[in-house]
Amino acid sequence: MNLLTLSLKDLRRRRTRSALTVAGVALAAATLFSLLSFNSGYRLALQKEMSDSGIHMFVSTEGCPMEAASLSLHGGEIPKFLPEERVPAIRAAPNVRAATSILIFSVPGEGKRVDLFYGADDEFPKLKPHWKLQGSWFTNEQSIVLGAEAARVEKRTVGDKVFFPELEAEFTVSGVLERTGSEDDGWFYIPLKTAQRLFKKEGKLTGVGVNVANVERIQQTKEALEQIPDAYVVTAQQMMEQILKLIGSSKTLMFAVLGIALAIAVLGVLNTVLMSVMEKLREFGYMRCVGASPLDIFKIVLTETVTLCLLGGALGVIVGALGSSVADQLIRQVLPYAPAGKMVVFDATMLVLTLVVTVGIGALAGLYPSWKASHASPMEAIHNE
Amino acid sequence: MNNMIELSTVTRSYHRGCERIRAVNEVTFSVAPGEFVAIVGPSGSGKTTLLNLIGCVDKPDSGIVKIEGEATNDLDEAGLTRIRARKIGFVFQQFFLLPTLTALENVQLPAVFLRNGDRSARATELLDRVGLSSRGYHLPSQLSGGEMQRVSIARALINEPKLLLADEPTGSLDSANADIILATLRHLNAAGLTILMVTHNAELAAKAGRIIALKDGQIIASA
Ligand SMILES: Nc1ncnc2c1ncn2[C@@H]1O[C@H](COP(=O)(O)OP(=O)(O)OP(=O)(O)O)[C@@H](O)[C@H]1O
Ligand SMILES: [Mg+2]
Repeated sequence: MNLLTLSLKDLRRRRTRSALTVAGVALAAATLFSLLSFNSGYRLALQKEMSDSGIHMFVSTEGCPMEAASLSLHGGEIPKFLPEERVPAIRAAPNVRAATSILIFSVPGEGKRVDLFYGADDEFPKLKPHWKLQGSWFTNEQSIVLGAEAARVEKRTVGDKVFFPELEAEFTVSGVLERTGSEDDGWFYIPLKTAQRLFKKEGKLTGVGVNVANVERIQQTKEALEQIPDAYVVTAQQMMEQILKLIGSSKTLMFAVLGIALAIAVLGVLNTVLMSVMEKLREFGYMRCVGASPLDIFKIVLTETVTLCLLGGALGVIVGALGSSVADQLIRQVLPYAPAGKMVVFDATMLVLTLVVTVGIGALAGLYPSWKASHASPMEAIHNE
Repeated sequence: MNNMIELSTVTRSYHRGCERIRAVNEVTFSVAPGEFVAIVGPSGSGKTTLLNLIGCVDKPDSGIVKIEGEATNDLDEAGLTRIRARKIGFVFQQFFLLPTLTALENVQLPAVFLRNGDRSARATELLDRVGLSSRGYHLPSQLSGGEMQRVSIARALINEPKLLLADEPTGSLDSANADIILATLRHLNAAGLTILMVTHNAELAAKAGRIIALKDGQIIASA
């Protein structure tokens, strides 16, 4: 028997109360764990999405290049276009490995659906070395390549024909993209010339996606490209920073919610431990009578609190890990921009951090009850019989 | 050589309403090491109050209490804790056992606070000595008054104190068990333990080396 035994005895004495407190702590810990994991996973997911897009830089025209760049990922329309005659100059710029001309359109389809069309040239697959294509890239003007998700919705495979009533155009599927888990999955890829004709934008581009040979020289390349008339350049890095800025306020909100959850958990722990201390003041007095020092009593109560929090923290981490896809979905809904990959990524650091924070603030909550208990008076204990 | 206990004009009073009762009134006496002293007196005469003062679980309003020459009035919490834990074994009139601990754990409790290592073997042996070897895993609520009393005697002995303060240690016992306890106490006394025992039982008191009689908080006879 030791002080720890005494602490555990007490927790077991009030099973229901202890269990409820542990549940409260677990809830807060699960939230903490998920958000910490999200916080570290989000940037990675975004980075992966940027590098998977294969586009290091996006050249568009005056206006909002950032908007144009984000279009290349998400779709939508911008009123300004880059003249096609700038493309050779872009290709010729130093450090440019590949440049692909892009014309993007989104067209309302049946019902609430919006069809995203990506007018692309034959350079495009070069920017997507990780793509696995079933079938082939465009074989003629009426070819279409479907993203995995687009193929699933259209129920089409290689060789099938697709008709778009809103465009009054029919295509033959030359290739279907294997699922990438990124935004790429949702697009209809059609030949650039066809897109320009269908959308009546001959000679015009949404922009040019640039892949560089040496990533370290991106800044110099950007400066070189900006010498070209009409050309405005935005790098993937800039986009990412923009997106991170955009989600900043959502993150603030999430961490505020976390703060509330933690505060409630702390109050729960404080309430539980303080109540049990008040009920047992006399018993602590008896312990003092048979030789316990105030510090002994302090340790007993603090250990009790820390044990509650440790149990809650461990349970919370398990719940957080099991419910990570739920957390991913929930967070996705409050973010203005979410990368397609998994955002809530677990690692040991976050696990340890969660436990440390949970136990740390739990111990903080236990300080007052422990102090209170350590002042239990042996005299009062034996007099108020 | 220091006296084990030394009291000089010790007074402890309580308020009851606007009345002031001197539960212990200017009491002076001393106990030498190795003595076996019985304290007798009618109910309310201040026996428990006196024992609490000596056992450092209560403080006098005036006067000096010394344990082994050390004045306890001047001690801080740490000093009092040290005396309670190391020097004194206390058998309380109301036992004061912890309800969540088994008999065996209650007996070990003072050893836990003294960081005395694992004393479970000694606790078992002590329980055996007071005739409770089969009750080690019972909670206080599952024990009779007499059994709780014996558990509290075993607890008082776990840290091998120099001084045993026993407040009616046989009050709830039948004569057979009372005899066992008395024999145990005499045995311990013979081995050097100083004992101060409160009792109503004249026969028991007669077996002590000295009797101090209290009435209304004052010593009326000492023999
Ligand atoms: N906490 C208290 N508050 C007020 N009065 C008290 C308190 N404790 C004891 N007294 C009073 O002090 C006096 C002495 O009490 P004490 O308990 O020392 O008597 P006792 O000799 O041990 O009696 P008994 O033989 O019944 O145990 C009594 O009149 C009692 O009413
Ligand atoms: Mg009494």
